Formats: sequence, C-alpha cells, structure tokens
Amino acid sequence: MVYSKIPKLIIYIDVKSPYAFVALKPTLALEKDLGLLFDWKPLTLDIPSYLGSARKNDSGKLIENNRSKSQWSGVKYAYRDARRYANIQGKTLLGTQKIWDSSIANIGVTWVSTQDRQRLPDYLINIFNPFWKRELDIENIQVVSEIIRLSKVTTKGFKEYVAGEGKKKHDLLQASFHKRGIFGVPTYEFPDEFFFGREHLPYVRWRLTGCEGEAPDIAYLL
Amino acid sequence: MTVLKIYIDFKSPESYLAFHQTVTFEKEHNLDISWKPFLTKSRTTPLPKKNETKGETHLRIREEHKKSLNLKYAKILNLPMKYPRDENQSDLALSLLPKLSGETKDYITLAFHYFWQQNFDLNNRDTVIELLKASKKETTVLDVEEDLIQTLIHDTELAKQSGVIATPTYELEGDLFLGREHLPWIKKHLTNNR
Repeated sequence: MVYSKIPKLIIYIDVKSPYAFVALKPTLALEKDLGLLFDWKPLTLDIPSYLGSARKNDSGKLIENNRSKSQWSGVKYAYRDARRYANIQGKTLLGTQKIWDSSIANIGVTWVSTQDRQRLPDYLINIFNPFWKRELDIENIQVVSEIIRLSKVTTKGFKEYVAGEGKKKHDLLQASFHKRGIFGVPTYEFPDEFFFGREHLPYVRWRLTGCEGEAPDIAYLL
Repeated sequence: MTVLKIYIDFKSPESYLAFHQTVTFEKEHNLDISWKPFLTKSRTTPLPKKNETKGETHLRIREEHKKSLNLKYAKILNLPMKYPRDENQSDLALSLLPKLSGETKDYITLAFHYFWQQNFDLNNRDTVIELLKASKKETTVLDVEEDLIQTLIHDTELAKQSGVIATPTYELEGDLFLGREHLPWIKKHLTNNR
C-alpha cells in the first residue's frame, strides 16, 4: 500500500535493553507490513547513571551491588515483564549478569545500515536473539564481526569503522540525546514528536498510515 | 467471575487514564474488579538545575516526556486532564478506599475528577468530606479510631513486598502488570480461560 506524505521515522535501540529486544519483532513487522525502511539508530544506554549498577557471577550470585531497593524492584519487574512477552514471541530472554558495553554491537547497526540496508533486519535478529540467550560476548569486536558476516554484510573495514568514523558518529549521537529530551529505548521519533516504548506502536502505525479514524490508545501488541 | 485486582493512586496520571479504559473493559468482560490503594511518590516534574548529574537529567526528561504523552493520550481518550500547579496529595481520599461499603466506582470516578480536572488536594479533609457526600458515602468513615494514613502506608508496603512498584498495576492470578498497555494480554488471558 502506498501512503502519501509518510513522515520519516527514526527508531533508537540498544542491544542490551530487554525492552528493545521485545520491541524488535513488532517493529520489524510494522516496517515490513507497510513496506517502509525505518531509520534505525543506536542509543547506548548509560544504565548506572540512572538505575545503579550490579554484577553477578556465573552461578548468579550478586558480587557487586550499587542499587537501591526500589531500583532493584524496578529492574526485577522490567525483566519479568519483558520475559513474558519474549516468551510469547517464541524467544528466550535470560537476565544479564552485568551491564554490558553494547557500543560495538550498536555501531554495527549503523555499519549494516550504511553497507546494505536491506540486511539490517537480519543483523538485528542475529545479534539480539543469541545475546539474550547469553550466547554472545557483544564487547568482542570479532564476535560482532561474525554476526555481520552471518547477516551477509561485508565486514571489510568494520574494525576501522568502529575505531574511527563509526565511533565518532556514535558518540556524537549519544551526546545529542538528552538535549533533545530522548533518554531510552525503544524510542520512535517523527520529525515533530517522539515516543518512548513499544506501547506506542499502535499510534506510530496510525500516523504512518495517514491518521485515519480515531487515534489509538497505548497497547502492547500480542 | 474472574477477580482482577488493580492498584491505583488518585494522583497518578497513569492511573487516571487507565481507570476509564478499565471500566469499559470491565463491562465488556463481566469482571469483578477490586480497586486497591497504593500510595505513590509525588511526581512533580523537577526543574532543570545547574550541575545536574546525568542521572538527574535522565529522570527529569523522562518525567517531562511522560507528562507530555499523558496529556496527549488524555486528548485522544477525550478525558479532560490538567496537571495541578501545586504538589497536591491524595493520601486521605486514598486511605478511605478499603473502608467504603458498597460500590466504590462513583467515589473513584469523582476522586480522579477532583484531582485531574479540578486540581483539588485530596489530602484536605474538607475536600474529602465533599467527595464522600458527592459520591453518596457516609462521612463517618473518617471518624474511625485507627490512623488511616498509617494503614495506607502499611498496605502500600505489603503491596511493594509482593512486587508492586507503581500504578496502575493489574494483578491477575498472581501475575502483576504495570500499565494499561497490558490490557490486550489480560483480555486474551480472560478470553482463553472462559
């Protein structure tokens, strides 16, 4: 279907966010359904700055804790909530044992978008799904390169990109978020407004399809 | 009949928006809803300050964003909504919720109306007396010997221990769902179990 005056949509994601993980499937489905190519960009969350930090060992024992009781309650709820939605999507979501530095994997989003945009859904699926099964060390550039290769995108120049232009672009973007009022993932940004959270997908779809009928309320799509 | 427990606070904008959607949902699904009070923290959007930490900026802009979206969806849902200028509270009106006999929906509807349309302070005794009278409830409920606010704080603490972190929280067969965005899940669950 062709819609006139489709507003540009940017989607901000972070591989280490459980909420970005469960937003992936319905957002890719929306993109495919409407025959559009959204502009996916990385937002590498600085989780300790607003939610404290913690680290567990291999047996799940807490070995580092810088979180308040209410922060822990929020984190536990977030994982439980994301997990039940991941399960109905047929995915596995295991709690992370530390706060990962996801910048290389996120720079991979920009790399793949630049090299072969059509392959971006493959890259996103290939990196998110195993990461949330605790099968990927996303801080290892070789591992991320392998995922790019698996997604049938060239890796020639990726290491240089991560060390140079890619990192520069990534860091500049991160520095711009708070100034623009953007703080989390997934965020859906139109030229004139943005929405944090996949519960806004019904509204996003409504806007992308010409704002016909009454605007919908928030809802998590099943 | 399935019992759905829902934790609310009259000063929570998300509770206000969810209440109206949930009442419609209740009628459609022949539910028995038990409305539970949960005292949330004050949510006044902090003002930007000099030397703000990254975490403080994050929390401030997050709250600003929530506010703008709540107002946006209030319009979409045709619900008048006005954020109070002062840091109005809801403690007293909320503490009475478990003490009221009979149907409580009119009381809740009016309490939300007072807070989000009239911007009344629901911790003000005179306002709460007016609220009780307007919703045809006995004002003697205020004359109990127990400390209503302490009981509310205690009940909130118990809810926190069971995993409730904010409002509106829907409790369905032991599972907790924060926010009206979960209504499709709850609806599906109820339909499948019918």
